[in-house]
Amino acid sequence: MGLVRQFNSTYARTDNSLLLAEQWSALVDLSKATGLKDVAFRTGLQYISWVTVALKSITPENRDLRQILIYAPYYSKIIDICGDVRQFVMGATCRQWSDLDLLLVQIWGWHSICPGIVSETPIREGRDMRECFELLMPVVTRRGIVDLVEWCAS
Amino acid sequence: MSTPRLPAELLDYVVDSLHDTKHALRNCCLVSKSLIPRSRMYLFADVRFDTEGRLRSWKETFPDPQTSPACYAKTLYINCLHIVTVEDVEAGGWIRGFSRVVHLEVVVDDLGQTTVLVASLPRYRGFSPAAKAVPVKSPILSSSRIFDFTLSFPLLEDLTMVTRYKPLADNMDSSDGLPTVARPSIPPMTGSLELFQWGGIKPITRRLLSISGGIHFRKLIVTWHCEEDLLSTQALVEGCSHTLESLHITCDGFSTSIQLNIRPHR
Repeated sequence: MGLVRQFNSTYARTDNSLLLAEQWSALVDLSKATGLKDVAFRTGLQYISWVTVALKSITPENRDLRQILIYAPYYSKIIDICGDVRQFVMGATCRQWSDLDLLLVQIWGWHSICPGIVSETPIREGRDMRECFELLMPVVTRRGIVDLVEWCAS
Repeated sequence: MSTPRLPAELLDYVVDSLHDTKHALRNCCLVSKSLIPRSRMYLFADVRFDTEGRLRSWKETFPDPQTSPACYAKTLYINCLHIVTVEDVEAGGWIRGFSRVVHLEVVVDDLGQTTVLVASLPRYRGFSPAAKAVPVKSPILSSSRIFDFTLSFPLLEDLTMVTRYKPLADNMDSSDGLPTVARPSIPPMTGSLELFQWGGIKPITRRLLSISGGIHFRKLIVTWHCEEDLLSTQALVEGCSHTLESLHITCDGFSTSIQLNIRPHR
């Protein structure tokens, strides 16, 4: 198993992350909330599995669902991490984003919902948000079934 | 020659059209007594006591609670509760003049006044029967204390509890010195539930789910600070699954704690 560099520069093995991902599966189940119209998740820097697990519980029975918003951390930081993680084939952070990517395609098929990804950047750093998210979520960004919203903090 | 009189409805319409022009509304109050009630409805819809100076200014301008425009306030913001309390005690229940407040926001954050503030909170229980939202933000009040306070408003729809108070143990959540006060009935609480609690949302979730008849919030806004908050959120989602329309979850702090919890695999 490879090592994933944590943002705080500590190290952990990816198999522990997988264990965590399994723990998430017992959690937030949205299938019974059939009147749900919108969901918004503000995620931390690396562990976004909980968002995927929560969204996985959405079924065609959630007929009223109209909006999915995911507030991602500073995308410039994400790409820093993924840039490193690309060196490790089993990079957990990028894999979590990839899982979310595929799930959002599935939800698009069920509900025709174009999810919104809101990402904050403190300053312009010459990096394009689309470029970052094409790396993280290649399918939804290339198909144009995600709204990328850049929030530039002053 | 008699003064021509316009129908009251027409005068109301004139004042209504000036609702966002404070200067014009003030002039209306000077033009005719008949325009005062309608003008005050807009001028004093939003009252903020965020500094001692603002409170003193109010008291000097309206020394008689009977004639003060407090009854027109729909939104009341209090960020100097200990000073308001002193005034309220001196004036014998002056705060109850704000009896039509629908949105009451209380910020209790003066750490030096903890005892006074905790003791004074019962004075304000249910003082505005019309209140539908009573967000309380405080680092010094337990969620149980805030819960008991907010549930004293019979028409409460939105429940907001933002507290950085950390109980020593799970069963110590109401350990801030005063007994829990009995409630005559449970308000409808069909609006939004917002929970942000450093000590975790488990104790308050437990209390909410023990309410007879269940919970019926339409909107749930939760910030996770510990692993148990995930399970509590699931319980809340299940509890109001028939009414839930909007779910917002923030996981910033929790993701940090997860990182700290990771141990190298052996």
